Amino acid sequence: MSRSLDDTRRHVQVLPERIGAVAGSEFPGHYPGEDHSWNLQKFKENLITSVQRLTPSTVEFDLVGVDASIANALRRVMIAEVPTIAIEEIYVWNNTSIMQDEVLCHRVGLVPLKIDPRSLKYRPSPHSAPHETDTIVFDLSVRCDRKPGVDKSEKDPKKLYYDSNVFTGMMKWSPSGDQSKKYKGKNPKPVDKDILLCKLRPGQQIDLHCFARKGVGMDHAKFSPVATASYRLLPHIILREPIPIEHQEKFKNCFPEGVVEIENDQVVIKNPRKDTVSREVLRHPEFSDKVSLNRIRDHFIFNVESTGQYNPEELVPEAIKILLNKITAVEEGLDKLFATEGQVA
Amino acid sequence: MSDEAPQQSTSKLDNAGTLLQSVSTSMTHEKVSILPGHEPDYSACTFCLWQEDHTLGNALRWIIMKDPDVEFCGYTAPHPSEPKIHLRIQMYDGLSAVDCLRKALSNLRDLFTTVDKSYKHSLNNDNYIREQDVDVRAAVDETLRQRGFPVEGDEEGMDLS
Repeated sequence: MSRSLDDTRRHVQVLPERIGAVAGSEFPGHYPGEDHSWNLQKFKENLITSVQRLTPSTVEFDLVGVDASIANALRRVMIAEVPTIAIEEIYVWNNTSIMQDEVLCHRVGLVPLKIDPRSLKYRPSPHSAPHETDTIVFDLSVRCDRKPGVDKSEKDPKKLYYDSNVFTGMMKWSPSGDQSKKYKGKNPKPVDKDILLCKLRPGQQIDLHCFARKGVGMDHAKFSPVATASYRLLPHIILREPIPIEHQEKFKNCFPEGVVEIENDQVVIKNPRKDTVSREVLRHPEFSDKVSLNRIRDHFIFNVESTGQYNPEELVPEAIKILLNKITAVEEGLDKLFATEGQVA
Repeated sequence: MSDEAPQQSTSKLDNAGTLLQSVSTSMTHEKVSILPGHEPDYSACTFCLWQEDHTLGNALRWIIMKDPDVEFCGYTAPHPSEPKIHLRIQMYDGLSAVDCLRKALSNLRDLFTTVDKSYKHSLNNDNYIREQDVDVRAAVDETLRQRGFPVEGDEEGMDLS
């Protein structure tokens, strides 16, 4: 079973002016007579992963029983190392819009694309020629024209002109090689079709030839598969003494709705998860000795919002896969080092 | 075909590292090296892990510190424009820091595999809230209507373009 929330070793103290007991202390040799060496069996018993909420774009889950370094590794990998496909190179055949080529290309590069990143490879080097296994091509070709027979007093550009707004939905995938078979039923397209890229007036046109490649967020944020990936620690409110009846309403109002309730003239901590840990309660002298605010050091509440390339629930397993690859890479590096070490040393 | 980038030993994986290799030089780096000044029996040494950062560095540091045979472990990212970390391990009783690192890597793998299994189990079996996303456009339109502003689509003559 998991450990009690009242275990003070798990508490990060939220004090009026500072945070206390930030670092964990459960390392071998810290507590005499206690064994804190790595133990997979114990870890399995203490670990709780529980999904709380899932929507088409976000997943919220609790990760309990791991160190901050592990939770942080997951978060960092989701932001910077889970790959996605984004437009990386653009040939501008024609651009007579008021937006400069480089600005327009930058905007087009940021568009999230609905392509399974697992279906493409990284290109072997930055110089290598595009190949159907590592590149997806889009064309964006739009021309604005005046609509015939519109009333002279009309001011609305939508009624006056054809294609005065260029949207991401106008980007056309042009399959090469086996791609049309490979992506049958799930054609590459932008995640959202209604992102405004540029505005045109009669006679102006845009003609772009775009190359989408696989990349990672550490190279450019457009490759990041998450809009947000963050965690917070579970708040834990401890009542040291009962709150006198005349102050109960004020006490309740120190917290967000639903955190504290009054039941049978007693103050009850109902849902600490909803607390923002604003420390408002510590500002009042009548409460400051009666309550202590804490967070649980190993209880992480993750919130991950996908930008659409992955389903949100897939991001954590993908991040773990990448972390395992990193571990393998270091192991192979060690093997290689000691295979040659005989000659070096 | 055109010039291929020097392949890393791990490039049988579909490896993001190829993207980040320096374009201007053909210099390749070993994934792992041991910095000069290590003990001859490897009981204390500093490893240099190329193309790693705090993601793996801090997790490794934590799990190595969980080993009772370790006297000291710490890591640093020496310079932000060099994609590498230095990982220092000192052992008690002349034990090998290399073995310790190998053991830590395998423990870390167990840890992440456990988390992965546990997460997938929860995803498939738990009873959690499933709902639709907030329709931001509808919410904005509603606020505009309440404040008495015209909303696109409600009536003629209003257009945001």
